[in-house]
Amino acid sequence: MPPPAISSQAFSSPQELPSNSSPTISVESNFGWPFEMQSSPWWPQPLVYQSDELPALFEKMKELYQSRGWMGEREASMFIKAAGETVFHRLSRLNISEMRSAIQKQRTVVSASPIPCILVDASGKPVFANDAFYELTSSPYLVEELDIVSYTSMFDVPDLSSFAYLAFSVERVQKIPAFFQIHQKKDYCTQERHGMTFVEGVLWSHKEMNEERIPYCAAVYLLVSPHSHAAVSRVSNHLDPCVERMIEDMRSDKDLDRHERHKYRKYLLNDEHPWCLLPHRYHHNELPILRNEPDVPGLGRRDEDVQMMNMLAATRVSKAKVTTLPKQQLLNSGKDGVNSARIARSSIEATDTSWIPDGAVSHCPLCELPFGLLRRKHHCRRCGGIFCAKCSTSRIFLQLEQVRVCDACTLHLHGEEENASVELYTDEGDRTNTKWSFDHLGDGNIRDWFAVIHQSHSDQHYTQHHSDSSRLLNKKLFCGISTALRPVLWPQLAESSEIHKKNAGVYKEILDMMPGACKYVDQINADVPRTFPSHPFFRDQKGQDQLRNILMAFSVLKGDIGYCQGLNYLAGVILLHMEEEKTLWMLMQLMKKYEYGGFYVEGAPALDTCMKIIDKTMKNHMPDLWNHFDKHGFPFQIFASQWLKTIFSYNFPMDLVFRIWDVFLAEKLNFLLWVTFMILDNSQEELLTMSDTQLMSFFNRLPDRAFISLRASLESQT
Amino acid sequence: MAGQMRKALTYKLVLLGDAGVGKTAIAVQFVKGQFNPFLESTIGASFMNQTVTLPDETLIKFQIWDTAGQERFHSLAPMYYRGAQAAIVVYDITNRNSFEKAKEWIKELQQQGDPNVVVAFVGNKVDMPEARKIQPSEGESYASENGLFFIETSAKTAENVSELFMKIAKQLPSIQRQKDITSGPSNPGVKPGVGAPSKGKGGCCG
Repeated sequence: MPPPAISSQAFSSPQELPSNSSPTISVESNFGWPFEMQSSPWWPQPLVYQSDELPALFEKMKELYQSRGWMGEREASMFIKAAGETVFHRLSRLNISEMRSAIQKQRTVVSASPIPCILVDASGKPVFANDAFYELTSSPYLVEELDIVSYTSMFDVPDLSSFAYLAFSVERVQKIPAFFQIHQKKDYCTQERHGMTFVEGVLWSHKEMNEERIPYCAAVYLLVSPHSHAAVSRVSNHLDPCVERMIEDMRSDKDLDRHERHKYRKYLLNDEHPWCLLPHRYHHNELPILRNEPDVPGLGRRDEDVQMMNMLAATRVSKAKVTTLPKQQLLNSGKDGVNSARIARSSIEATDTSWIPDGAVSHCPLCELPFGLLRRKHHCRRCGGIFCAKCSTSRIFLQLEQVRVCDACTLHLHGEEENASVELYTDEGDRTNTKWSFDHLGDGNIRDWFAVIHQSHSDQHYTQHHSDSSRLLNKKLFCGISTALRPVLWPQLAESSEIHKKNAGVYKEILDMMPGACKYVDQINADVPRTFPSHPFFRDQKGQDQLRNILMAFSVLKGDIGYCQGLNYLAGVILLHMEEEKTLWMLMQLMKKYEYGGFYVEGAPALDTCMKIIDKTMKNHMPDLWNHFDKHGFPFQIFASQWLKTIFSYNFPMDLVFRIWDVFLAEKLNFLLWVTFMILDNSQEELLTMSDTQLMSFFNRLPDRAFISLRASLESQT
Repeated sequence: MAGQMRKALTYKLVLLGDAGVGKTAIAVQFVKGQFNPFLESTIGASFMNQTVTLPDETLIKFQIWDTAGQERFHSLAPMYYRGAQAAIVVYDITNRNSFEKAKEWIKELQQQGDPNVVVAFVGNKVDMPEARKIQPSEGESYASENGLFFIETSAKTAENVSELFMKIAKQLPSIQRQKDITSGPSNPGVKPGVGAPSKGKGGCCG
């Protein structure tokens, strides 16, 4: 599970505003400082520096940046000045209104900039983006509406203070001062933020500045761009070859428009996993990589004159409030150390996790006996506390190994699982109200699943690359989830239960407004009886009513999509596994986490991108087939779009659909592309001998042998 | 010659119209002679083919592309009707809105499509006379204004369904022949085994 995201309420409720705040608050409150620093639990104590220390500090930083050739003197001064101003204001606890005007000033500068920029406030929440940014990303959302990017987990190192700089630039990434040093692979990772891919470098800053560590800067997010190559190679010779290749490719081709490039790049970026599932000949160097136009209109040479401060977004000062791991362990340990930190943190979301330093305790908090030569100290990996061996006899299964938990946590964990007990259904054809609890499922089984899913989500938070946990998860998923477990595990995989919890009651409220509030009633009514009409559950009036409710509620909640044919199948597949409300939130999550909205909004940009990927991959890797299709003018896209759009739920046998969904929920769109290529690959020889009409009939309703070989392909991955 | 060799001429036919007017039902009725009230709503497009024999023994093979009707997919439609030699635009006689949508489709075909496309304007669901909102005369007059041919069908009772396709089939070669005459020897025309010449599609599958 990822670290808790800061709920938006924390920002919308202006609490304890200082008395000297100016009357302009209401005007600017949409991007300003709606809360007092100390009052927010998310806001760590600011660094206590004497304000007169700062100019010297910034001077030193400037020198450093300059000496490393990251920017010219003028730019460095501008940047430091801009950075310094904001930081200085915060550090000296400037009053709110002045701080706002400082931000407002930046906002003015940024809004005129042709460089895509986002301003984030001190908490890391994006508050403003300029037109160039919107143009670049074609984002249908205002950044203010985006979820908070949670940095909390990254900054909870004791006695260290960090600033997070969020800088976006396409044209002049190389001019962004690279605040981070990449020495090893673990020092950076690629990250998805706001639908874009960033190379993220993490540096735990030191109080003392030296050549190796640049002070006070925790992270920089660089938008990978055709022009970022120079910058990236300057800071690291160890970049993932995939990233480099991508950059290289982006420089040299102009196939795709900007929107696609940003929104769906990650499917092309991910070197390690999805494509390696393909037969060996598709692997690695032959990766299909989409190419992008190198030049973004409006971002030409005139940028040269734009000052560095345009790129400055905002800063964040933090001081750890909660400890997760000792600093040294985080900094110096190898991958294992970091992993164990994550295990400790992520295991099952403790409320106040802190890794107690060894020296901090002398007695076991449970049995209250003193530690000594015979009674050794052991950390519980869940709460981080120190216990004696007798009080920490339990182990939980995490990743590939079992880790120690204390007895108190064990009790707690059991409690959680009991709470998590939900209604399960025996099988799709027989949705009776058979209630299951986890006891019926065999001990360990569901726990393994939970553990590995949580671990995988947690690792994903840190790295784009596939971790051991996600590999293990995939292995398990390829074997398939048993029907009885899908109702529990699907929401876990999709992380929809949290959204559900947050929005408890919303579904009921929406239903009360129905059908008046829904613009698509006629269309929905027409499609509901036509969704899986041969399935007993949907033949029944009750099943149809539930599906109708879900689709109507969805069309209200997701106004930009409303209702579109195809959603009925997605909702139908989910509804076969869980109750209405859960289905709705999982469907919402499909649109959000899995970016399926791109298939359903007007113009379907995701579909377009996928078609290009498919076309390109076929052309490169199945040239005979591609030529064959081309020769006959066979529009394979029509069928592929059907498959992708409905996540294979249209015209595929149900059991296979569910198995595809199992893996899809972890692997996202990548996996669906894999399935598509597998179908082609399995039948390639046969297809090559077919005429166009035969091809059309083949793909219109795949023959059983195609399903059989697809099943075999799934099996072969386990 | 075509008759003797029993070679089929292949034509691409596309079904267009608002969602739920019965496009798939018409196609299924024509191809399989069945009516299924529980047809799945079409996503993207589905494909069927069926061969008809004209009185002069010419075999006409229809590649029927049945498309999804929802407005949202409108932008994808050219992908489906590109290269079609015939189009059936369907509306539901019990639904005024679908009639308007059908008119939009006609307009789009006229603007974007090949002018030689045979277009049929079809009012479906005549088995529900009590719910009728569009009188036959209304469809008739719109069709004649636009030079289309008009027919009312019922996919449920199969009324006029095969007539519809027969009529299209009869019109198709006549158009091709006309083309041959008007454009002279420079146009190779339809040759058995070659299929529709101008599109490079089709092909002989006899």
